[in-house]
Parts: sequence; C-alpha cells; structure tokens
Amino acid sequence: MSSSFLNVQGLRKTFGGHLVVLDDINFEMQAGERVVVIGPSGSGKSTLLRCVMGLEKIDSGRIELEGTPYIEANANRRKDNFVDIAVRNKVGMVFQHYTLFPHLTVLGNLILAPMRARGEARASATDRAMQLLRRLGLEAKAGAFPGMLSGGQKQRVAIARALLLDPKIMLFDEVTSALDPELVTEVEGVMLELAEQKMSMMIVTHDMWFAKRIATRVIFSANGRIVEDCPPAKMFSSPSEPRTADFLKKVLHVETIS
Amino acid sequence: MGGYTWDFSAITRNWDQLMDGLAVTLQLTGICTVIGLVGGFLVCLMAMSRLAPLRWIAVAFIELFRCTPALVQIIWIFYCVPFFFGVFFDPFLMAVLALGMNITAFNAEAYRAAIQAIPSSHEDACTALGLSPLKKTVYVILPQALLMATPVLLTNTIGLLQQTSLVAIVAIADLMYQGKTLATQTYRPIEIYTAVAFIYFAFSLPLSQVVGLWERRLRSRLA
Repeated sequence: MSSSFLNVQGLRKTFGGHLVVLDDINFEMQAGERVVVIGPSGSGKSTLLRCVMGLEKIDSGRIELEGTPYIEANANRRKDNFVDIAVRNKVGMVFQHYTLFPHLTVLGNLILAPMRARGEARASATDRAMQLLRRLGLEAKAGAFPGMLSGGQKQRVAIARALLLDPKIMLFDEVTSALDPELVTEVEGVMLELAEQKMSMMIVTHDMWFAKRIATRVIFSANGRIVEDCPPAKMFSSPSEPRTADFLKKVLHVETIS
Repeated sequence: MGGYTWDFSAITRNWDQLMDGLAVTLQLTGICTVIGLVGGFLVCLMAMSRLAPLRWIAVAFIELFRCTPALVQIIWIFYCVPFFFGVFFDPFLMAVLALGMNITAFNAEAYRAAIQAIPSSHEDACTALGLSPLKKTVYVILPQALLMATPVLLTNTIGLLQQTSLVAIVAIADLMYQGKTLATQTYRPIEIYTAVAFIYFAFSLPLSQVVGLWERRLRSRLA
C-alpha cells in the first residue's frame, strides 16, 4: 500500500447524507501517472478531484499522498475531517472558471501564495514567477489585470499560479470547458508540456481526444462509482463494460476512436 | 420671479458666518465618514459571523438605523439617550453619535453586498493555494470587497454630507443652522438658502464624479 503515490481508500461523499455523490471509491496512482477521469455529468468526477484537494467534507474514507494520510473522515460524522495541511499543500488544482483574483495583476496572482502562505521573499517569488511566465509565453502580461486577458491566457496564468507552489500532483477540473474552442489548444499545450516533465496529474475533461492523448490511464465513473479503469488505448477501443461503451458512443458519436 | 430684487450683500456680508457653518458641516461629515468606514466593516463582519447572537445584534442594529428616518434618530438620541441612560455629551458629539451610527448601518450593507458578490470559487482557490482563512480574508476577500463597495460607500458619504444638515434642528451651528439664522436676521431667505444649497452642491458634485470614475474603472478591471 505504501508504495503508491496517491491512495484513495473507501471514499464516500454525500450531500446532506442522502444524495450519494461518491460511493466507496478506491484507487491508487503512481507518481508520474496521468489519470483522466471521464463519465456522464453528475457521476462525481469533479467531486472526486475536489475531495483529493480537500475542498469537500467526506463522509468516510481517507486519502494518502506518498504514504501519509492527509484527509480522513472523522468517525463522528458531524465533526470536520482530519486534514494535514502541510501534505495537502503539495496538491495543486486548476478550476474551470480560472478563479484569478481580479484585484491583483497576473504577477500579483502568482506571488500571493508563495509570499503569504509560504513566507517566500518578494524578490525570490517574483523571480520564479517571471521565469515561469516566460516559459509560458506570458511574460508581457505580468503587469496586466486578469480582466484584460483572454480565457486561454487566464487559464494558463491559473496553471502557472498553481505550479509556482511546486505541487507534487496537479488536479485539472474541466479546465477547458469554459473556453472558446480556438483557445483550448493553448491550455492543453501547457498540460502536455507538464506531461513531458512527468508531472503527476488527475484530469477531469469532456474532451475525449485530449484524454486519449494525455492519459496514461483512464477512469470511467458513473453514479459515484469507478466502473472501468484501464489504459487509454483499451478504454477508447475496446472497453470491457457495456456502460463505458455506451457512454463513449454517445459522446463520440462513433463506436471508438482509432 | 416677477419683481423680486435680489440682494446678494446678505451673503457677502455674512460670508464668514456661513464658512464657520461649513467648517462644522465638513468636520461632522469627515468624522462620521471614518466611523462609518471602520464601523460599517466591523458590523458587516458581525452580520456575517458564524455566531448567531453576533449576527442578531448586527442585523438588529442595521435594520433599526436603516428603517427609521435620520431626523428621528438625531432627535431621539438628543432627547431620549440623556433621559434613559443619564449621559449627555456636548451637542456635537451627540450628532456624531447619531450620524455615525446611521452611516455605519448603511455602509455595513454596502460591504456585505460586495463580499457576497465575490464568487465562492475564490474560497476554493484560496484553499488550493494554501492560504489560511485569515490570509484569505486579508489578501483576497477584503481588497475585492473594498474595490467593489467603493461606489456605494462614496454614495453613502454624499448622502451623509447632506444629512448633516439635519443637525441644525438640535442647534448645532452647521452650515444649515447658520443659513437659517442668517435668513431670519437679514430677511433674505431666498438668497441665503440658495447660497447654502449651492455650497452643499459644490461639495457633493466632485464626490459623485469620483463615483462615476470608479465605476468605469471597476468595469474595465473586473470584466
């Protein structure tokens, strides 16, 4: 067990105790894996990511990173989860709606957490931020406010903001869903670049072609459960579960992707 | 208008007295603005607190001052507070108390609306970035709330400047009071009150221009 990088055990999440969103989820992930979670709306994909980030109170189960449990449901369900914040801080997340802070410039957004949460000096944080922006081709936007950027630029800045905290794993929750189609590739490009650098990632997306391209593993979830978990080649050509095949047929309008 | 002969000497001769009144008006406005900006934020935090009793107190305070006329508040504080509580400060302080609490209530609502307009996804983003609840409030929520609340806070300040004229009723020598005194002394109410109105206008207009500027700036930035 301890050999796995991310380990989700017996994760159950309900809303208000009745509406079950995640039902006994168990899965492990190795460092450097890129797990793409697909499935119909309401299947709990985003909630799974939010639980791994520690944004949701879970009903039962626990989540470990590098062998250390950092989120654990309290035996008394009314009480808050146990959260090891130091470990949780190794997880980075990017959201569908950018969530850049509009009162800060691009640079201000990037260096806020390194300075205020990690105590890094302004000069050093600025230095690292500018390097990262240069790499992403956003150097010229450092002084711009988020309201002046395109959706694609905003999302790349959001990714940079998360990366500047040196996460061990990055979670991407439908990060291209709110983008105009022509802006999707610039964001996916950044993610592919991270893939080349062996960043561990969990990705929720509706873009099956991108899923096939970036994933080392694809999880199909439905009704709060993991239905199928296999490499992308198998998932998109010969899924074993009829439910998976049915879903893929609907979203792709063809039998399989070749 | 027919046949009225304007005599502006009533104003020029008594200019100093009007300016004394203006000084009191501006002092009242300035002091109450500061009280309102700070107090309003504190009451807003109370109104959004997790602790129910704090919430009740804050909401009761806000509604009490929003739902009664400022004139009644001033008179009530002037006559009833000394009667019930046995305290009376000098008239100016009593006026500061009344107007300060009034603007505090209105500003608290302005802050609350601004904080509630911040998308809840920012809370998630702060958690994901490892910002503690306190740091989230200080560096993310508060600056955005201030930015967004500013037009309403300024509008409330314009309202305050004009509401200070109500204290004339309890014999505080503000601009309105001096105007009233001069009008009866000189028998020239038309000239005097016109001048008084113009002075209020001259101080309010720039403020309302700033509101417009700020809103344009906000729109371009938060778009």
